[in-house]
Amino acid sequence: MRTLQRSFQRAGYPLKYSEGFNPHPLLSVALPMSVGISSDCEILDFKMDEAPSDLELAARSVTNALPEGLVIHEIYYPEVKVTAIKWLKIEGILDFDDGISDELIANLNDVFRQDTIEVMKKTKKGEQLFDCKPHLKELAVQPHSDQKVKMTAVISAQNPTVNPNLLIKAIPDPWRPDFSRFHRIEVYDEEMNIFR
Amino acid sequence: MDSRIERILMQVEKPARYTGGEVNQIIKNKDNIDLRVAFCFPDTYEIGMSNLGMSILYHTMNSLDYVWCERVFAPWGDMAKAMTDAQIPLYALESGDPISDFDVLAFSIGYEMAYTTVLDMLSMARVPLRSSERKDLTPLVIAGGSACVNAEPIADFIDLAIIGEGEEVNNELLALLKQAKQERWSKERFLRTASDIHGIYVPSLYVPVYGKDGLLDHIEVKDGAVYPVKKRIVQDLDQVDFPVEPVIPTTEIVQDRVSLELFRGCVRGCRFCQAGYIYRPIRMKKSDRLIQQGKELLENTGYQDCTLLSLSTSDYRELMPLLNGLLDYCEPRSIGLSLPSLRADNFSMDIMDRIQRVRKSGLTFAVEGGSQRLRDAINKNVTEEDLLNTCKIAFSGGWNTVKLYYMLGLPTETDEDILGIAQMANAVLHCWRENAKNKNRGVKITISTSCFIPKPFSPFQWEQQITMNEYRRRVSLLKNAITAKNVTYKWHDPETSFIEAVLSRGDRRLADVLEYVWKHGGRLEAWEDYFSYELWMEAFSHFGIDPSFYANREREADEILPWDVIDVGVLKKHLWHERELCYQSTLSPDCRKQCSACGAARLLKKGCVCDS
Repeated sequence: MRTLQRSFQRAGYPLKYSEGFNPHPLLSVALPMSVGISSDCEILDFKMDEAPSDLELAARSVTNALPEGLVIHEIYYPEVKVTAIKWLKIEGILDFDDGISDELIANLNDVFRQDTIEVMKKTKKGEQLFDCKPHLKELAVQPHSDQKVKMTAVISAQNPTVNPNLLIKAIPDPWRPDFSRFHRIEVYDEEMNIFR
Repeated sequence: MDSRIERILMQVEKPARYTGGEVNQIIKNKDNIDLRVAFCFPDTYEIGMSNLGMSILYHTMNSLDYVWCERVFAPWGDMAKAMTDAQIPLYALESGDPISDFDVLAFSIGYEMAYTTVLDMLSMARVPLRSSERKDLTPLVIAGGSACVNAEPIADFIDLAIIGEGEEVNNELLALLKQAKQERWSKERFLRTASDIHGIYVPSLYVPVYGKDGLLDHIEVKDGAVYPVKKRIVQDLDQVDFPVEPVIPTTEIVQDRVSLELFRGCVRGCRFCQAGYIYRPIRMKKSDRLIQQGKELLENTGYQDCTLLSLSTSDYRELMPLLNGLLDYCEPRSIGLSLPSLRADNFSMDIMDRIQRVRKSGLTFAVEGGSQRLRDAINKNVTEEDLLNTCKIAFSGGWNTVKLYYMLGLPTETDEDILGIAQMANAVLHCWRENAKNKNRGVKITISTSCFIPKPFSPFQWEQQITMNEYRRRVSLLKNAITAKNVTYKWHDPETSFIEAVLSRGDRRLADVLEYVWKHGGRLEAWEDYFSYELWMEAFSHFGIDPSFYANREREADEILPWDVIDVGVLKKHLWHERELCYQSTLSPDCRKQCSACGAARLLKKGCVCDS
């Protein structure tokens, strides 16, 4: 958050501050990511004292002030609240250091085709059994390279949030990857329309 | 990124410490580089990235086009273990390259408790620990920073130390190394030549010889090397390079703000304070230049806070113009300004009025001694009246948090002095009752004590540290004397202070102890999470070394001290004179009232005047 806030400041587009004992910039990320996840589709809500006259220029300027790799694609005035985000398309690369096989791919697909995909999920009330299946649309697994498998899925982004690592947790030990990394592709509303 | 690192980053706390990639990091093409420098900070990323010296020297070294200086910090325990398990050597943040192939491993050492971390980083880099085991010219292991005014405990591990300020001498050294590398000099030839550069101490050229009593008999100087080695300073702070585009961390660090250095040195001369002596002579930066740099830094970083750094900010000659200039910029932008190191004696309503306009922080005063007599003895020129006056202004201005810092075990301290601390806390509480604007909010007064550590190059360098048991007795005396419920008493444990006292006045015989502690898992010893008193004691006893010889022994006036090989500017006889004044409870006037001819001005070039 500090990185984002300072980048606006550096780019010459200072954010609006809350009015209180300890003023802080009004800036929030719609779907905060866990550590290690990358993304093409983050939505950031923020307020400014003065509206920039040229939103495209503002997007370019803030991008230039951001650490390499972070890009502001578009700045626009919101019409829909971010609570309307429902689905999230993700892509995962799963590493299997001992190599992959047709059998592995078939087994992985079987795991996700079951009627329930139950894993223990940490919640505020402690660990609880959680069924991912109802909060999952489309899930496909296919070979990516000799040691990597590509997984694509559409998962519930909020209410409840499905962390893609839960899907890895659901894989039984013998087929569980040695390492996995996830990338967010797109956000959608309830009806699978792209959210903006 | 190395895929092995990518994997372990998922398992460790705060992975952003280990990735690099921050805004303003310096990336160079390594094919066009003659020297690669690993700038190693023997503590965590959050501490190292908060260090202004590191930020300055990173930029000055990188200003040389043939040098690429990269940052390296000590990984926290989880990462260190994960790296060892995955057989990943210590790497530099900018390139991700292992630092064992670098030409220079440069350590910035600000405090003695970091010594074992230096060894650990060398080991993680897969570089032999001792200078004598590294036969080739590179990697050259060098150290600098305030702990290096007595580099003796780590002398066997480093090839050379920078004594004093590094802005200029570092680059002179690198120029020489470039030549030496091109002309294939031996390491010996390089070190001997480097020792002629003002501010460079090559320990292998000075051999301590101990007498039967265990005291230092003499220091044997080899190969006609300079003796003593004179501290290097920057003559004009306004002329030296100062980075206005510092690396901006992506993760939260300790000092997450713009730092502006107002001046170096201190006019006060508190007798316990090493910094007050080793940073002399006094040189200040002009306020208009500071305002300019402050604005540029705030614009370039996007930080929302700015801190004014110095040993005694109230003594900065152009404080008012500086504050006015900065506040004109900061206030409309909600940028907070903080002034640590304000003195209670000349803390004015005006300053407080100005800084509270943006954000109100707590008040902290380093009172150090509990009675006027003791404060006179240590030359801490703060009176109870000054302190209470300041508190009065603060309380009526709406402040309601006051922290008072003291040391226990200062020379000449009596039980009466200690009880004086409790009395002062009561007086502050009374002052709040009389002056507070809004009593419903309550008041919080915190008393903190730590165990006094005698430091080299301070007038108390000959003093004994009180024993740990004596410290505990004094703590409980004070604890029982503090009765008011609004007053909290916090004390530091004496164990770390004891080890620090051993190391700060240590000699080369402690090298084995350091290696033993490191070998048995001692690293990041400045952190309570890792500090192990038992391990240190085990190491001392393993080598038959009595730690109290270093910590609790009073030195004679004529004793040769291990750090006599270094000339920091202030003369030994001046320090002794100050010590004698302590025992007479006599104050010395500050440098502005009367120059004490301490000797530091000798370091200035002709035409330069101390504190001008």
